[in-house]
Amino acid sequence: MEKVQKISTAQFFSLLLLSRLLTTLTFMPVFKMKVNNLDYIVAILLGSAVMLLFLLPMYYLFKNSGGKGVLELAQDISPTFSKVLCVFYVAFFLIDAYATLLRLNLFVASAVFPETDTSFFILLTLFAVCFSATKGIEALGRAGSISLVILITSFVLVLLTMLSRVDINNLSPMFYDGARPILTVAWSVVIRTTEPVAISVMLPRVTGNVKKSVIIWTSFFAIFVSVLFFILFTTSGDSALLNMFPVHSMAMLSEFGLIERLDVLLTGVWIISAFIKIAFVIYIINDILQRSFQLKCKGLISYLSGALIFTSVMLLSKNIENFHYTSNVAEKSVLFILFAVLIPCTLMLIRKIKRRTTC
Amino acid sequence: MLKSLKTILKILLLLISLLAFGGCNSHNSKLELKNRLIVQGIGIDKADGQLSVSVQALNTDVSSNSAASGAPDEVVKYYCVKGKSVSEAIEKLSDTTGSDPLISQNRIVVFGREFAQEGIEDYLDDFVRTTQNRTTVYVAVADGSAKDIIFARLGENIVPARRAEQIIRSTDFNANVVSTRVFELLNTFSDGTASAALPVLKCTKGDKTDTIEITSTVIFKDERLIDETDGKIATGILWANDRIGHGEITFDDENGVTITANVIKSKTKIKTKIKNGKPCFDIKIKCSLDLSEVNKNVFQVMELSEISEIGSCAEQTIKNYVENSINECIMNESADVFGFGRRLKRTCPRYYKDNVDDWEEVMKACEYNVQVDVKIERVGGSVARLYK
Repeated sequence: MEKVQKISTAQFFSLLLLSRLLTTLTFMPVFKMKVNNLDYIVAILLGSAVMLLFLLPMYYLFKNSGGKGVLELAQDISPTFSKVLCVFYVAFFLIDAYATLLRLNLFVASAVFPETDTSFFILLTLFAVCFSATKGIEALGRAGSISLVILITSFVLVLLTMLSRVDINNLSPMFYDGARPILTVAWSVVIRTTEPVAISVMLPRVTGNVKKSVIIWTSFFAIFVSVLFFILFTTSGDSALLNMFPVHSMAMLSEFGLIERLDVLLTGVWIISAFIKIAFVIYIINDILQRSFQLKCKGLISYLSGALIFTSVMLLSKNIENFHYTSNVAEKSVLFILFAVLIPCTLMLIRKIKRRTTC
Repeated sequence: MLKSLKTILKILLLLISLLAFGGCNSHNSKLELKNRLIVQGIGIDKADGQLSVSVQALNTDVSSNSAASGAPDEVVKYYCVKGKSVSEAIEKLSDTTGSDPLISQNRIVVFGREFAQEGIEDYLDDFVRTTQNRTTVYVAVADGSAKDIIFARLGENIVPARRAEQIIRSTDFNANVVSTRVFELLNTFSDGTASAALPVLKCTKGDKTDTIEITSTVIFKDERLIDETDGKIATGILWANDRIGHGEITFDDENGVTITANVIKSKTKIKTKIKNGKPCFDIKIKCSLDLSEVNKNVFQVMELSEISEIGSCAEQTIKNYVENSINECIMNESADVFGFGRRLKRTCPRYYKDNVDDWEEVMKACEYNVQVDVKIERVGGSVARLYK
């Protein structure tokens, strides 16, 4: 019998943190209303707190589950129900991987290789990603932990080089245009966080205190990104929001002695982070399909998922107008509420009813 | 068998990655450095309804190119191209050079005076949208046309754009020079109330070599050049904006003795408040000086009381610098180069919101209190009676 691979909460949440930070690093200021720079920082803190509230249904669902994930709990109710849920979750993660790859493609094509066709780069990267996904959660966990350390160290270096340029007067006053921009951005922070869904399906693969790790993960994310945006806006001011990728543009301003444009250092780190995130998501797809349908062909699933994602990205990335598919707030809201709130609540309800009827 | 196939596949994949990502294919040969035109300076003027873009690029050829105005063995070459936009003009460089312009090494952007007077905001998009461009590049205005600055010949083995960049960067140790980078300019223009101050470069033609120098400072308001000021106003602006690193200030004491002091360190703090229904800005400057020169009998030993008087005179001088710059920029030109509007927005947002549309009138009615505290930290190397 194949040994069930498990990783520690530290490794698992390193993967999740890497995944969430990548979403932030490739953030684009594309809100319909004007959002002042300090509003972003307030929104990040508020959004992180709100996200913890939205995780409460999951917390109550898994509190006494004995390490079972959402699919295992659904299996206890009905095997068919579990299989149906599995298909839904596979679709969710395929969309997540597709959105990440599309954004990465746009970032690479705009900021890194503007004069080159990135299709071959994306294809090769995706091939390596699918291969990495077949190596298992332990390998991904180790790679994720190391990459996280490298990412944070790189950013700390960039932020330190920017400290001399900090000018508090570049910050806008809080709530200058009311609370609506802050609430809009905070909600965007919440719905872009797909990692709670990964927690709900990957619980059987994790050992350790998950509750404590979730709080640490959320807190670290909130503090790190707040500091990052604080430095971004105090050094670049509102001109940062003219750029498609403001965080990358900040790195372009950083200088250290004779070394300029530390964005070159960060670009490699970001691509590695994207690599690990997409590999992790494809691994999740692989894992949940195997668990629910007892499939043996793990490699094939990974490569098929990769092929599907690549085809979707290539079809839609040829026209920049299609990019809205990855940043549509309504769609993301529906997905988040469905997978992070409704499904756990439904499962909780069904389990309660079942417990009452058996008693 | 399967294992060896897998190994072969992995090696093949590595080789493909090596070849595909290393730029070792004919499609990417145009990206090789030897095939690029390494731009060092860009000047923008307007001519015949189009943009006239002057470019200074490194001479990577052994012999001169007849299309460029550059003699053999010159370090740089000069080109002048026209286009409806900056990007179009720069792209046209390859028509004559056959090389793809590399703008990421650009050091300076110079706007011609007439072009600056017409307004520059519509032409800054290239510096943000083109990822090759660096928004950390220094910006200046030419005394005449930008072409004069870009086409300056400063001598053998001197890249004029680098020299111009060095001159502008001397703001770190020269209290008369303001410096602005592209991202700072964009930041200023994004704020509805702020104005920008840019240095003016002048090229003086010589027999064999030319000279570039900063002659004055210009004020931009609503993205247009509106006023030109001298070095003393620039010093006041630097002091009020806490941009004084080092530099010399010269003043006369009560007895008419000329004293020059070096600024060791300086810190400016501005407190914003509403007083009697109008904004009040308390500008506090703390400064440490080291005496460089005191123009009196060198054999006369300086007394302690003299040092104290020198400090008072320095305080008054710095205060005058700042007050004069406020008078010139705000009272005369309604140009807020000090960021007072931004400070007011941050500390008193409600008042700012109610009055932002009349900011030009409001800032003239504001109260500006300048307080300077100078410490003579050192008296240089000359002896002084430092005890009573």
